[in-house]
Amino acid sequence: MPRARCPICGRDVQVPEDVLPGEVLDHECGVSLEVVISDGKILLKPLEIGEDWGE
Amino acid sequence: MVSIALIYDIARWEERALLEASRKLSVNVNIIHVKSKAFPVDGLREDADIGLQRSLSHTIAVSSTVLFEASGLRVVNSSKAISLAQDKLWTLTLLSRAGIPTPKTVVAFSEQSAVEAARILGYPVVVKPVNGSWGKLVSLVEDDETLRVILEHKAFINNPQFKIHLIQEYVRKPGRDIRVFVVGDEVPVAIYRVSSHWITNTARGGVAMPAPIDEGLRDLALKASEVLGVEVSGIDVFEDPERGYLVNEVNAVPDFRNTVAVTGYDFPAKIVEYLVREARK
Ligand SMILES: [Zn+2]
Repeated sequence: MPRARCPICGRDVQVPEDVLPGEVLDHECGVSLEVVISDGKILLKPLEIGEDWGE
Repeated sequence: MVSIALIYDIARWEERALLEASRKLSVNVNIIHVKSKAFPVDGLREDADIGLQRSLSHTIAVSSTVLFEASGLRVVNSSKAISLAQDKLWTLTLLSRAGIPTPKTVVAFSEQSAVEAARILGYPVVVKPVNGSWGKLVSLVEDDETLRVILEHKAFINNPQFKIHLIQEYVRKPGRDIRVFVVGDEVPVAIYRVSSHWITNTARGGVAMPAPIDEGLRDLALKASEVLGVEVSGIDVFEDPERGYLVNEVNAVPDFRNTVAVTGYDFPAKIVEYLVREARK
């Protein structure tokens, strides 16, 4: 399973094998992270949602 | 084999569920994460028979749909339908003109006229921006003073969209409202959003429960979708004690995680089946 580092708490984040670009991963520290795939590398950034459609 | 372009910015439970439904139905999916690359305005070619727009950002949803439509791809929902649905004023005027009951709403282009509008409607009123994507900026206001504070706060937001105010009557709904889902000419599932708070959105703590769909609700939902031209949508309906069903909003990129959870209805499969049927037309 690929790993990446949480930009908030610095700990490892387990990333699913079939992760999608733009996928939201919830980390154990309580933050939601957005997956950014850049040159084949998996990076994580805090999820910022301004607009949403809602349910 | 039919191929669907899944166009999105943020992938959540819904997008995973759509991929899973496609796999089960042996439908190929071309995953298009709009933030991962740049797109040419002309000569864009995506290998798909039909597109499904799932972008959370309304702005990205409209722009990327325009782009893919220009390449000849049919996208659900269309750029026109998304544009109409994301604009509350546009939605309400079209619905009213088509004879669909909606909450009483007044539009004000200044703070002063917003206060006048609220007095005419009678407090409490709901104040919202015209663009539907900023649920956090929707307020329930009890009096002139609070309204002025909210309007002054909005005046500081450097975005012309927040200078237009929709002032709406507060519908005394019975502690819940209804989210009705439409796919094509079918109304397969609906939920109640139950809350002691006046905002019943499930992202804001509203609890989802299965809701029955009677003839009146079905007809209203289909008519509202037809007026806006949405094919896959979630329609927000209030139950007014006197007037009955009122259509409040139409969502062109509806979330459905909680709906699937409480109804057990396979909504993602319904969407994929619809796309396959449409692609074969
Ligand atoms: Zn963390």
